[in-house]
Amino acid sequence: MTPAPFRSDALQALIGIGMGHAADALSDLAACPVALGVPAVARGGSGPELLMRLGGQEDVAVVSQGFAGRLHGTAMLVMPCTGAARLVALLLHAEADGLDTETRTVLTEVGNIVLNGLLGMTVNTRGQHTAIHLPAYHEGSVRALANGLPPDHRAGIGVPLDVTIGAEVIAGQMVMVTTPDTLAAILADAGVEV
Amino acid sequence: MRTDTCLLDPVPWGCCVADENGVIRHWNQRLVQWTGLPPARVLGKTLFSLFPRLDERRVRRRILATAATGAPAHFSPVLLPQFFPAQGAQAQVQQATVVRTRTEGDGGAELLITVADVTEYAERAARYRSLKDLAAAEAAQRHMVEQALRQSETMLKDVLDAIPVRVFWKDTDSRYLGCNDHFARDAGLDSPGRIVGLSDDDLIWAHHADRYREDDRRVMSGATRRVDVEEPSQRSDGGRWLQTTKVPLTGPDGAVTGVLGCYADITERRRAQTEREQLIAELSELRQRLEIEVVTDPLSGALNRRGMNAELHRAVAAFGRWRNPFAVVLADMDHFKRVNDTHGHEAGDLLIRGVADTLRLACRETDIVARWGGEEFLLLLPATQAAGAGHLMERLRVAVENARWPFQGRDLGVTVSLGAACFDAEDGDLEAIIQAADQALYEAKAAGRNRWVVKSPGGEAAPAPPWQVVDAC
Repeated sequence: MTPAPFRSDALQALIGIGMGHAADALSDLAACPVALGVPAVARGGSGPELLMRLGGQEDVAVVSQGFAGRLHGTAMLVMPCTGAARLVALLLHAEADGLDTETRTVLTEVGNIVLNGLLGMTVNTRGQHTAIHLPAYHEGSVRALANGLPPDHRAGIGVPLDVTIGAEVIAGQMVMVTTPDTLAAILADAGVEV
Repeated sequence: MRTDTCLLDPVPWGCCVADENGVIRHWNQRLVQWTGLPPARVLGKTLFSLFPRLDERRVRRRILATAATGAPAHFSPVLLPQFFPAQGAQAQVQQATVVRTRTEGDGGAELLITVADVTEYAERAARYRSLKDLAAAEAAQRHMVEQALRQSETMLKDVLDAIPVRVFWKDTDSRYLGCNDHFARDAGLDSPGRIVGLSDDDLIWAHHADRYREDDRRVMSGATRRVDVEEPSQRSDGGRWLQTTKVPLTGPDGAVTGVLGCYADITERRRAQTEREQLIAELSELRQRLEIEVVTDPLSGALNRRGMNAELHRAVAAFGRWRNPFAVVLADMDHFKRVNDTHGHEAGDLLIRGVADTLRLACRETDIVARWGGEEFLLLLPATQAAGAGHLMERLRVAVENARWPFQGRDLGVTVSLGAACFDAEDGDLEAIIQAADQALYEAKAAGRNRWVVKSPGGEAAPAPPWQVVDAC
């Protein structure tokens, strides 16, 4: 099933605000301007389908943060490993040399900042009690990642993310996978026409 | 639920509880141990006033954001190596997380800051990175060396396969280690790789294997530094010729490790050599023929005047060295003009050839006959004095007189008149002796022809010896 664009751009605007906060934090962190662009927001039929949209044979680096409470699901920042390594190198002003222990901890922190921006504008609105978990990092194929999702996470949101540092743009994807009820609640809270 | 702070003391992590403004409410024993700050010095104070690094915008705003939104914050040890400044070797590298815990009752929020000591982990990662860099550098260098080696091997193979020479190399047991494409084809193999491990016994030239092994042994033993053999090709390819060269192969320590051989197709070279040899022989033969023709009278087959002059000068030189006397005889066919006028020039030519042959047959083996001009012949008689010359002239005269040559149904005959002179003095003159012989011939003609006269260079007045008038008939 091909994800369909939302008729309203309200959710995209909310996520854009969250990414603005995250970009400020990343700029402080890197001591250089970092911009986070969200060109579109798409809704898929299921979490695995949203992930499989990423396609490609290359392994991906994933930072995920679960959330639980009235709303529950998992938010992920997914990037090809080469792009992820390049992103860290740009933030540290160093040469890209693949992913290693240090790179992964930095990527975890970056993912934490970005996903906090996403979750802060989606699941953590109106003062509702939603616990957000600590970030976790893993690598693997998109297929393996999709297969590891809980079976009831049949709905989700796909958010392309362009990280701009200097003249370079690193492409990634934010994916939130959840239950249909949670997705409906998130969209309702955001005032999105469905 | 308020954090049960007593549970935080025994854990192996640094744990700090602060309110939503960063005022420290609990400071566990691990943090006391790491920072050297007792609870009394930190409780009631804010994180940001106690630790300047936490007051930096990039850290402070995230801690406060956690307090405000509940979204946890993860601090990488790469970007913030020490969340709380540590003393001593422990907790030099820290990984921190900040989460919000909401209290019951007053509805306030607390921040739980957890700090893990990842010093050893970081050091191990640094060592791993160092080893990885080293391995990567070594791998890169090895890759470069291997690439250079591959390029070198490829180039060597290209060269070996491009040159029109068959190349092979064997181990010390005369087993093949490799060869180029040309050699493999000659050996009846479809690729050079098939030859590895084979010996000459296994190839189409197996019947020569013993000889080839012996050549290998001689080269490898140092008995000879090089073996060069030219031999026909073992393939049925039209009688081609090959030249094989073998030299010893040596290792880095100088020890002989095998034998390197190559052979070239020298068929064309040998063919050219054969053609050159044939050409030289033909030229030599042609030269000999020309040399003979230059000194030979084409009609009679006898020496011509040029040839006889050379013989006369040799005879004079021999006399100067060994005192070998010689005689000169002039023979002239009698009434030859009459023969030509009666029977034509064809008959005249027949008689000239016939008389020349008769003179050659009648004189001795060492005597030399030349056609001196027209119907006149000159004979050089080595080691002959006047008496001997007289005897020989009589024999010649009789032989010609008795000879007949068939011509147009008739037998033609002719007589000759002969005059001789002898050369047996140091001051002898070749021209004079020929004039003397001519004078003798004239006298023989004058006396009625078909006779001979021996004359001295000075005529009848000449002293005797050396010049004698022996006889006239």
